[in-house]
Amino acid sequence: MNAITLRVKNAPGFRVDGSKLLPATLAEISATELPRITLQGAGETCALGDLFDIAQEPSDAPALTIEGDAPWLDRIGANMTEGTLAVHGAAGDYAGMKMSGGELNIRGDAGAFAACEMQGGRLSIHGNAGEFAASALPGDMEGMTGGTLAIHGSAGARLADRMRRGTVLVAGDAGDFAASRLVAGSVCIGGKVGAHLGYGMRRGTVLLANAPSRIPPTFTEGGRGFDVFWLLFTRMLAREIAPFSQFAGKILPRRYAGDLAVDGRGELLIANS
Amino acid sequence: MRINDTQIDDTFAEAFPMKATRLVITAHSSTWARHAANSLTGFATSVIDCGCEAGIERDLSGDETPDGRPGIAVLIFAISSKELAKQIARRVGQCVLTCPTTAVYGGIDPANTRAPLSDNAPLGAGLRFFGDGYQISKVLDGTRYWRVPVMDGEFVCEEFTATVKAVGGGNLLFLARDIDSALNAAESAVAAMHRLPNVITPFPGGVVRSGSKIGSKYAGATASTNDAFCPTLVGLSKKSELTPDIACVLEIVIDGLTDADVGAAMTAGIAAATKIGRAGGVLRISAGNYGGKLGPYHFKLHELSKDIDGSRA
Repeated sequence: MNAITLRVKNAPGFRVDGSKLLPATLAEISATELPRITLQGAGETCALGDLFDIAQEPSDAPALTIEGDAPWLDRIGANMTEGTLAVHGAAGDYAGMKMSGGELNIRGDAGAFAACEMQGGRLSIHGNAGEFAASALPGDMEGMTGGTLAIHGSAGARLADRMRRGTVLVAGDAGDFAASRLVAGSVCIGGKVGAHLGYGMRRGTVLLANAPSRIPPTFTEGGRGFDVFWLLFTRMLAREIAPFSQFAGKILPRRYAGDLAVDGRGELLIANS
Repeated sequence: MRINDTQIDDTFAEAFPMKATRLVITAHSSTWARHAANSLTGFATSVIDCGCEAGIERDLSGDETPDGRPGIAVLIFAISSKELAKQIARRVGQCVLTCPTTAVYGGIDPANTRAPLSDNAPLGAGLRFFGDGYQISKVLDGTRYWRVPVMDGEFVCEEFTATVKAVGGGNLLFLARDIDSALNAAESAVAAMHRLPNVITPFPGGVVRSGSKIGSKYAGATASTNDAFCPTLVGLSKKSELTPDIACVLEIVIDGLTDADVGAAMTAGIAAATKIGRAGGVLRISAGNYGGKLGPYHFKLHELSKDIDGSRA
């Protein structure tokens, strides 16, 4: 088994589907075969060896590293089930799409639809994420259904749209319609939120570090008495990124329930209020 | 074999396979966790008529519980997975859900248990319906919890508790000169056993005085008094195993998650009783069995006692 490093040498000038670049798949391919792997581009194909300098070294576990900015490379880590995949630079759209295991670490910005319909594993984005992170693909009914998406920067609009399960952490700001049509799961936002927070949210938890400029009109004061859940939640968050790792289990956030326009069993928690 | 002049009979305890689980009950204070645990493990001395055998395993500090609050671990044993699930649902529903500030979690770690895993028994999966539609679930770190609205806030419980294939019916009989000596031996043995993990002694105070045998002269009675060890029946019962100097016999029944746990508890019990020794009125230690034909686990007293400190004269 090999650990593989792909160093960007040529940007192709068109978008490329990187879904073949999975650590477990590439780990079994020989050094002579690797450069000949073809990637589908927009209307044409290209060879891996034309886009990247390739290095291999023996490894116990499947691991793949992409070095350099590759905002043209879409679907990095899509359908990934195991291993570690690191991107030292920017990634394109659909990073971690439908991944169900393993760890995808993007040390740069990610495009739209990062972690869309993700089922398990962990996706960390150290820069910003585009629109529809952790959401459903157009026309699909469910967004993220498991795993953890941690965005150290900010997220675009429609964060966690139709998300059903799992945990989304955004240390920075979130755009309009964050947690819209949320079915369930946990969405935590450290910075500011745009308009229409939790629009059509049925169940699930939205945790804000700071109070938004206004509480959505279809949310109501959600009462007290959720101490035990908060203890469990903060103990899980203690292992996550700041500011969520710093929330104290003994200090209850303010709670609102909604969206009353739909099921109304969701909750909006505001920590520093 | 004699240890401190207490005779260890050359016999064995015969034990049976059971299904078991551990529940971790937490509360706002250890007092309320214990109230719930006492209630949950009440009327759970014998599967003969209680449906299960249950007991408190130990107190837990906040850093040992899922929510960081003080807690208590209880073990529940039943004869089948179906009966165990039924007893868990009833007892948690009536004794933990009702108890102020409590929460309940599965206490068997599937990744680390030494006992073979069996089914998952419902906890919140059934109790959630008490929420009448207001209940909500939350998956944290891969574990699903249910949050059921109650009058002091929310009752939080894990969706399932893992169950294991366990061992029930390990036992020791302390044959003593008088009641004080027998109680002293039994209480010391129970205290020693409770310092060990994975075992409970389900009878009142951990001790039973009505040891039973299978069958009866009366039709319909499946069990009756163990006349072989009743001091008033010396010379009357043909099966009597007592001598006239024995005035009192007490038994400890031990249920454990594995046969090694039961064996370790029996060794601890024998050690505690032989430490009192013949000088303290503990004349013999024996065990109950059914000829070895019914239960697959045989705990031989001489093997369990071989490393116990004490005079072997």
